[in-house]
Amino acid sequence: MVLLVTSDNEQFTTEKDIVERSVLIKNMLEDVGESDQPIPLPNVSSSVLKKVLEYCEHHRGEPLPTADSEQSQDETRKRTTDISEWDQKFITVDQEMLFEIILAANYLDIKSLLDVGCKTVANMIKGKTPEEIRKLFNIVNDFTPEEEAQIKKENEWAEDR
Amino acid sequence: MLLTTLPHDILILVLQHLPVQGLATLSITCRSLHDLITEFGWKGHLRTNPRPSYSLSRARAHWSPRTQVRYDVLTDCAWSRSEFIARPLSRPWSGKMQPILAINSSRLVVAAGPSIYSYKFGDSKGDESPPLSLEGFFSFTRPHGRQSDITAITFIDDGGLDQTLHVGFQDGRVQRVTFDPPSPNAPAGTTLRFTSSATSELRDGDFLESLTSERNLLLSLSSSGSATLTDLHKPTSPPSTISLDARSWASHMCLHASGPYAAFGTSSLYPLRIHSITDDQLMPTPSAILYSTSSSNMSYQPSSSAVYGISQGPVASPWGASPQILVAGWFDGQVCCYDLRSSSRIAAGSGPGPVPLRPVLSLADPLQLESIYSVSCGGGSASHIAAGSARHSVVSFWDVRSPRTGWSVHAPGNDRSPVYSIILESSRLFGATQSRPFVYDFGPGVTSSTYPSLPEAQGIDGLKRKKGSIGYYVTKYPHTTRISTDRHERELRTI
Repeated sequence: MVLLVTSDNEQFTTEKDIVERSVLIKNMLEDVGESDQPIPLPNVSSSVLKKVLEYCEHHRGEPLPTADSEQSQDETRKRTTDISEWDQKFITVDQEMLFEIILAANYLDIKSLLDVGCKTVANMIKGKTPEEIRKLFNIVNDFTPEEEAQIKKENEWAEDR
Repeated sequence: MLLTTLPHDILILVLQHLPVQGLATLSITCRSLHDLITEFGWKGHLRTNPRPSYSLSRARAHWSPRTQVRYDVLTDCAWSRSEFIARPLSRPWSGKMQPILAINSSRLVVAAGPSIYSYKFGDSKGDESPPLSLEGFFSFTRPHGRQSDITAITFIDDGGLDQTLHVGFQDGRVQRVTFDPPSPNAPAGTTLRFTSSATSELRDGDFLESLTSERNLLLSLSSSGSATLTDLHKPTSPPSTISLDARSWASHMCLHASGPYAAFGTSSLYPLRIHSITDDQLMPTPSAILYSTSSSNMSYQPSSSAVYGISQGPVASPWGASPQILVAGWFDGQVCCYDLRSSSRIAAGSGPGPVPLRPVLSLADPLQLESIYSVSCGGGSASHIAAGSARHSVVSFWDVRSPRTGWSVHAPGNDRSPVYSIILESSRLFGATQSRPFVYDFGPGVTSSTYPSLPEAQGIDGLKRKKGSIGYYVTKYPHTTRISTDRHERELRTI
């Protein structure tokens, strides 16, 4: 069993093979060896860690990506932009939580979860107009109308491809 | 928390999952995202969507990532519509040639008869396609005025000068040839000066059919089946030679695979075989024998056939970007793709030696069941295979992602000739028939100065210029027409 402590001081007890999907924690455990010391996670809140552990538990036992597979993942990225059904359901959260999960996955070094999060954001952007994207993500348009028109013209070739 | 407040390294990961249209739209939303995409977005797209090419490499080195993506997107789009500009690269040669092409990032050379024509790649201006111009030619004459045709040619590494060739001749001679680029004020198409060295000679009427080079190694294959691997950096060390004991045609070498290998095409019971390269030595026994049909025939009966063209597979193939994907053109008109890592082997026969390996994909132009003389891979989306046929100057194209919808096109001038040699790049196919070299350009920005201008000689060389266009008429047809359809009734579309 591993004891985790979140930024808001909540304690989580979990199994080693679940939490070891996080490369950060896996390395920590290897460095420390067998110990009952709680692991502090000052960058992760309890509500986010709960979600992250739910993800890790569902995917426990799956092979972790290795450095070697980096290359082949690059090649196949195009074909794998779809997200599995369970992951899809799991990541259907509000924007705030989505970004928190992405940040936590990045900090904890859980590559597959980071991927799911980033793909989800990309999917939210795909097929939308600039105005729709601004609205969705609260982006303030800081271009002058002339600048915007010029960039739009420069990128005309990319439309509807 | 806002999207724009996420750390940049995370936003860059998001960008990697966006298609070009998403990148373009997102870059209009605000300044910070625009700058991020300008700096990282297009670059990331290029990394995951490589479009290898020699003739564009100089120009691309100066293009912004966005300009490169734009060129690639417009090129892919033209490929998906089978739209291109066809140009002959020279007037027809006098007499019938069996030309061979060789390319590096500075120039394309065409060896025809005893002559070599050199076309130099230029830099592009603005949105214009990088040009190609004839810098000159040179011919090999022997004492007493005798000439011998070139039968094999390849560029070898000369430290970036890109002007050193290895050349094999019909009379058995093999030479290293270094030519000088023309002086800056020499007229276009001038005679180039060259020097030959390292001359050797094959005996008993044998001559080289194929030369390929990668890094420091040179692989040569003679017509009688003698395959030799030479280390160019160690001219004194003995080369590694094996004998294939068959009339031989084509070779391919791959050193950057995890298991380096050479592939040989011959006329024999085992027309296509793979030999491993270990410590710069060719292994005498083949590691694999490749079979031409993908039928589920469990009993493999070797039958005599031939392979005339071999190429590495397209980068964006469904089997991954592995150098272990191989494409070969067969005597019976089949173009076969092999995955050398594949376990899909035909059930072991009783004989010794390696078990035959089945293709993962077999392609053929149903209207042109002629032998395939040349193959090359690349093209739109880096997923195309091109095959030059033995008759009617036909080049066939297939997108390996949807191989059923192939199409073919006759070379400018509709020669009855084979397409002896082809090189497929992302946007350009270079080819050569018995009469002339030609190019099909699928990229944007082709202008009247992209390719050498040819004096009008309508009627004489069978060429027809499209009115108001820089392209020439060529006849193309899709493979969807059923085989039973009369040849003359098939859908002929001119572009």
